[in-house]
Amino acid sequence: MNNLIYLFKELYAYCTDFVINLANITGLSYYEVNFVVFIIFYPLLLFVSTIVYIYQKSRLRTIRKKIISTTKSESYFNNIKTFNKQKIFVSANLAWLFIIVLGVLRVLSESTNYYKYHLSRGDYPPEADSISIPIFRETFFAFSILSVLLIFLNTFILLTTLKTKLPTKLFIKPDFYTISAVLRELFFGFWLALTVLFFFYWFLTGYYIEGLVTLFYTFILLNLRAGQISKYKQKTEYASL
Amino acid sequence: MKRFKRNILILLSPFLFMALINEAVRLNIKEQPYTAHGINAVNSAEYLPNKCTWICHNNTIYCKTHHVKYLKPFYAITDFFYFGVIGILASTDNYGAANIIFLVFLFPLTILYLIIKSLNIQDEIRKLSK
Repeated sequence: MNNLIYLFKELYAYCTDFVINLANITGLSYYEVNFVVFIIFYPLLLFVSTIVYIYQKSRLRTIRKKIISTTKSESYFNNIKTFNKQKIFVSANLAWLFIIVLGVLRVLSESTNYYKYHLSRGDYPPEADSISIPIFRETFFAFSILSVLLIFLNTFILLTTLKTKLPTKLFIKPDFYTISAVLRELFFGFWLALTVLFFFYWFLTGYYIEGLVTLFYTFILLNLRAGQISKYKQKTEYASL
Repeated sequence: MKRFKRNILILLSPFLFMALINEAVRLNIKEQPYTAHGINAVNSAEYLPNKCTWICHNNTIYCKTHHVKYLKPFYAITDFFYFGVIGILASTDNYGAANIIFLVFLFPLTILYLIIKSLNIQDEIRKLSK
């Protein structure tokens, strides 16, 4: 470890000497060379090299697509189809109704256990409504929250299926990514990342049914994404149906 | 193999350039080299009005007063970025190590990686076009 620290110090001194030497050779100062190299040149080079790399990648992708479209090779994943709009609406609502029932039952059973336990310890008076009122208040609260979310779910699906060409291929891609296509990908990418996070969260905390439902919503989100991307021009094997 | 050699050359060229400059200067330096923490530097730490030394590294105000030629009218802007970067690196609690990790390894290696990948893609495009 000491050797590594010494090596770092030696390297640091050598690099500082280099900047000092550059300053003396170019007739500038240490301050100016530092500013030019680290504040202007480095970020600029990083930006330019990133842009060139992205441009080269897109060129390569275009050429590959041209070649693939002529050879007509199609993979299994490229042929997975989405639901149509009706199926998306019905299945997403059914899954949410299932979540409402499941959530209400979970809250009901957990609240009942909690209040019964406290009742048995004498924390509440023995009247029937001393625990039944808070149990049903909490259950109704859970029901209300989940029902309101159902409205949000339907609004989300309605807005994201407007003017879309569904059914289509699930892993559809546009030929060229315009700014609006990238924004759409980012929008759905955010929600997909969220569902994947929730999927792991449910599984790690032992709520396996909720985990599976979250996985189903990941599929629904992919459907909605495909619908949005189908608005863009496709000529290749990723094209809509 | 050809590609490997090219990549190694691209990777090493900035370091070779640095070594070339430093060693060439070391041969012609007349002042006593600066020593700190048991490490001998190439340049001295003397207050010289006509050239930069380690004093400019240790005392930025001296360098700004005596050596800066072109950036003097822009101190309001340049200082913000200059001391901003120093502040960010110093906030890691090990300014020297942060300098090496970010400015000698991470930034240049990222740039070199992107350049090498771009060149590899260019090769592939050329092959596919044929």
